[in-house]
Amino acid sequence: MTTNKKKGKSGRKKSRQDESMRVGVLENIGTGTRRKAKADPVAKIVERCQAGDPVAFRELFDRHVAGVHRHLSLLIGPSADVDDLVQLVFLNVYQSIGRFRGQSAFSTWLFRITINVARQEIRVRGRHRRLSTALTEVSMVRGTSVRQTPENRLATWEQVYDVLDQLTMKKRETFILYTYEGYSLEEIARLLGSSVSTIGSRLQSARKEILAILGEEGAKG
Amino acid sequence: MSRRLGPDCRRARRDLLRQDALDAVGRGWLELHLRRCDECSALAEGLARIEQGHELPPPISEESSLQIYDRLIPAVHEIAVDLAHPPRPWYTRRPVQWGFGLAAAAALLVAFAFLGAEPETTLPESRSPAVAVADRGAPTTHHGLIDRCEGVVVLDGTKIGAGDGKFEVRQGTAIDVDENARLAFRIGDAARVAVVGDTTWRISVATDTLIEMVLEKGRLAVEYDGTSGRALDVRTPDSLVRVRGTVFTIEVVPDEGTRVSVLEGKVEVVPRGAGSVVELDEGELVTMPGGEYGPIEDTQRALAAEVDALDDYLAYVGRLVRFDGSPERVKVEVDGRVLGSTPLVARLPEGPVNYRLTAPGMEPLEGTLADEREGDAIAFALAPAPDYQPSVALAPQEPQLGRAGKPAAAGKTSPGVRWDLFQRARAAITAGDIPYAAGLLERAIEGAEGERLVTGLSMLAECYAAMGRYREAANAFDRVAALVPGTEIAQNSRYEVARLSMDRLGDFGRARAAFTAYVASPLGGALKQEAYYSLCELDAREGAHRDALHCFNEFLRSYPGGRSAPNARLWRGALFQDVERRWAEAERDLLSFIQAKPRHPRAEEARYRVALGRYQTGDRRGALRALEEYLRKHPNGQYSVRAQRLRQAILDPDFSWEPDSK
Repeated sequence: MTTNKKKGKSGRKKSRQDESMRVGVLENIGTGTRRKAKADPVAKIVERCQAGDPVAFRELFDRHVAGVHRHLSLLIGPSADVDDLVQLVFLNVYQSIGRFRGQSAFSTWLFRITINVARQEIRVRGRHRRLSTALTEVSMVRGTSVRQTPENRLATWEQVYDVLDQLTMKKRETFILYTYEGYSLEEIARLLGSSVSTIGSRLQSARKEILAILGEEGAKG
Repeated sequence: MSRRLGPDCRRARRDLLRQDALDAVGRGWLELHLRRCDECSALAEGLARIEQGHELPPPISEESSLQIYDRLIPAVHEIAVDLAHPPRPWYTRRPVQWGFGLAAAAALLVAFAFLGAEPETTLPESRSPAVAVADRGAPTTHHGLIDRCEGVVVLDGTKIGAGDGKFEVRQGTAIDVDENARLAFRIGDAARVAVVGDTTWRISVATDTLIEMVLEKGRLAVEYDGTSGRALDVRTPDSLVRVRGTVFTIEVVPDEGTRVSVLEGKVEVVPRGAGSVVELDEGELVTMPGGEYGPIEDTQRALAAEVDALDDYLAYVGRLVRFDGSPERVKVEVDGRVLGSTPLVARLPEGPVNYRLTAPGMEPLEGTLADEREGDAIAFALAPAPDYQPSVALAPQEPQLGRAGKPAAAGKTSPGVRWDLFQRARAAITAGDIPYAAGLLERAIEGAEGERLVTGLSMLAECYAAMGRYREAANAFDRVAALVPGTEIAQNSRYEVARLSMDRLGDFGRARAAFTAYVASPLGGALKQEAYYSLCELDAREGAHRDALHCFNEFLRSYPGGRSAPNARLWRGALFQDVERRWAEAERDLLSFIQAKPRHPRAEEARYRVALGRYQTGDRRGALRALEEYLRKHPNGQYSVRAQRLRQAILDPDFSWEPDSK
């Protein structure tokens, strides 16, 4: 068996290298000033969009749809509704782009809209699932005679999210952004409007909880 | 049932969480352990699988992207048309032009008089000079649902009990929250609202398209879902806050104005009189009517957490139960989380939960709530903590001494001799020869009984304490308390045992038992306040900082002007800083302590903490002022080196300084 450290690190490195999958220009996250934003090519497209240019909106959509889709998929987990949520995000963008003042990078602004849509979705849907259905599902899975090793317990994306669903929203967001999206703690702190130390401890706490959940399920499985 | 892990497994699990920080030896050890231990290996494998995300979701295909865009276009077109031809707005801002304004107002009044405007949809609050009201639709009723209610809260003239927690949110719904109370509730699926401490709140408009709240005084936090299609406005005496989907707080501060902060999203603040509209982004705070911007402080974050706190634990679908009983202000913990103090109405998650009720001096009550249904009340009466058990064994009961004239038993002191010994001991105490007095008293109490034994033992205990023989002093006081239970003398003796154990012996367990017995005793006593304070101090000294913070909060609620209140504020200020990083509240407490006790030995610490708190909140100028004051008053104080380094860090940004809590 290779060490888990190697696996975890390489996974994260791979995720970090996957820059093209991120939303927009990440180097400007949260630090973009008005002057910086104007130098950014996206800023010009935003200005055209604010002026009502439909082609500009299409350009914004094309540039960012993949990132928004990826963010939403990771934040809410496997779901057939992701396309609907992507649509909702861009509707919100179109509706409120007139109020975007360029004080932060467009990608940051878009990210916040995305995360707000994801939070709403998780609140409405995830809460019920977490509180009632998840328990039933877990007990059904536990009821099988096969011992639940990580190989069969976490074999699918859904099963991974069954574990992540048991974290609180903030811990879940932090864990996903750091581990799957490859953001640094500083970037997450800026995106979520928190301090680096808070994000660090939230991440540590999320991992601790995951370990505890796996331990509990392993003991019962 | 959880199995106790071996030390290697515990270490391995700790190491798994900080793999990046392990050195080569640590990694080697972990690898070796994972090879040997199947259970830890499975956990490590599971964590790695989750961290890798197993199989990340496939990127969106071009076809899906096109489909989304195609579905988007009609809606975008509709929005574009709306933007090009906006519908009649809810509000129209007009420049303040007195001549035109008066004419317009007169015309409006005439129009209202003739047309008989509906009072339900256009309330007087809405007719500020800067904001004119358009038609807002017919009044409607929304569903309100209470999540948590602590203390005395009056809803539409009725004190909130448990019930099903449902109420109607309509035009005129009013909520009054007492000084130490708080209420968290939802309005349909559109908003979650928390009103905290001495607040008057009401609904002035409730239609399908708009909810307007009025905050006459106090503090509130709101999380509002702007996607529901309804607009939300909050009116304060000097501003109108327009919200379109956000988390924000509003505080009406006497003599200052309205403080609005935005935690998420954006709001627009319209001053009531002249002045321009302020747009507030996430992370910003503004004080109206002046329009001064500032950073959000921990006070606002704590207030916002009132609506956010429910996220983590309390469920949307749980049942609402009421905790009430005696004594008042009992701390309620459910599944290890402090929900507040009684009387408390709280929404609990589905399924069985464990609760624990605690109050100083009372026996804690624990149990499980499984069958309770919506609206049930959990009535309780905490019993006083068990009677105080002295930690020393009493001497066996002496035989009754004979009457005068009969010879005393061998080895015992006769009453005449005892009387003489007492007189000589008193004289020795007066002369200051305490050890000699103690020797005389030791002989005098041999075989003594009743009042004389109690007096002798008390004097002896005082002598021991004066001589530094604290353990013997505490034991003697213990014996006194046990000899005359249920009396004021016993109460005072317990207090002495507690103080000696806490201050001199470091025996916190014995101190806690004695203080608890003192506080719990129905006799009360002049030192009850001090005993309560000491119990809080014990929590702080033992490192139970959160308990200590809660205890000092409760203490200050019970004795806000008490003798120990300044010291309690010092402790609470320090705990606010160290535990909750609530710098603004900490500063208030610390300054209050300094003002009350400027020459107290810990005033030095308080001054340094004030500077530290200001530095942490970015108020460098204020921090510098506080540091100058500290260094002037305590040039060689125990924090002077730290103060100088902090000062240097403020003046020289390149100077490296690691802030610490003290």
